[in-house]
Amino acid sequence: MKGSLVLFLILGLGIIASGLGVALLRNLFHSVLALALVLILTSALYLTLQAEFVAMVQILLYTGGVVTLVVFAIMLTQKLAGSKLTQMSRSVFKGFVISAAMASLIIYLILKYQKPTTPQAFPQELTYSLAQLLLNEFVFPFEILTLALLAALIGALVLAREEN
Amino acid sequence: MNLSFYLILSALLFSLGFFTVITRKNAIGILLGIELLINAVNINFIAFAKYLGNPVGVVFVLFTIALTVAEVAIGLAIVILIFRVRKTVEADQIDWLKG
Repeated sequence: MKGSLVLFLILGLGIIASGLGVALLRNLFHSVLALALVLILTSALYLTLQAEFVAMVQILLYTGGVVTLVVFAIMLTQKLAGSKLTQMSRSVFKGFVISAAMASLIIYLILKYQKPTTPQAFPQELTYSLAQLLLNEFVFPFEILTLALLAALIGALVLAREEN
Repeated sequence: MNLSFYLILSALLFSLGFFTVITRKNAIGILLGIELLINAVNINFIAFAKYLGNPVGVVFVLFTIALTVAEVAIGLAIVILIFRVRKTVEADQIDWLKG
């Protein structure tokens, strides 16, 4: 019990610190690297919650896919080194006030209500029940999702295509 | 380990993402903020799934991950398109719809 708390605190502080990096770093490329760190630490957090499959999907899709895509977009739209990439944030103070108010409201509501206090064991091996759920109860949303992915891929190609 | 720890972590991460979205000038930076928001929500889903012993929450996380990847692909395509037309990706200067 103690060990899991220490592990959670280390991972949580790491996630918050790299999240601050995403929000505050001047260089956008460094922000993307901080985002990759957030995503990897989050997948480690999923491992501590016994969701191994999701942790792997997270690393493959987010860290492998999304971060690579964003780095490519930065390379295409800006110089990776030099003054063009640094960017001022606007209305930092107002943004801070609004975000802090939102965080305190959410945390107040979290602490106000009763919640389950101990982790429960999943009824079966999680990956097994995920497969069962995806191909029985959620098969229709699953198929819609494949359509949405196809539409997104074709849409992205059409949008970014050179017109002549 | 109380469920509140996970919820508070996720609330903090969500607020950080919100802060990123409203303070970044760069459109790609705004997309990074949206990533943080969705990641915070995913942590909530997985924590609730574990603490209720119900795997349905994890199915939702798989859906959101797949949809986020699609969203980022579309978003970056739009950013590149805007850059090609306007030669900038700063959200302040993308104001075609202003009268």
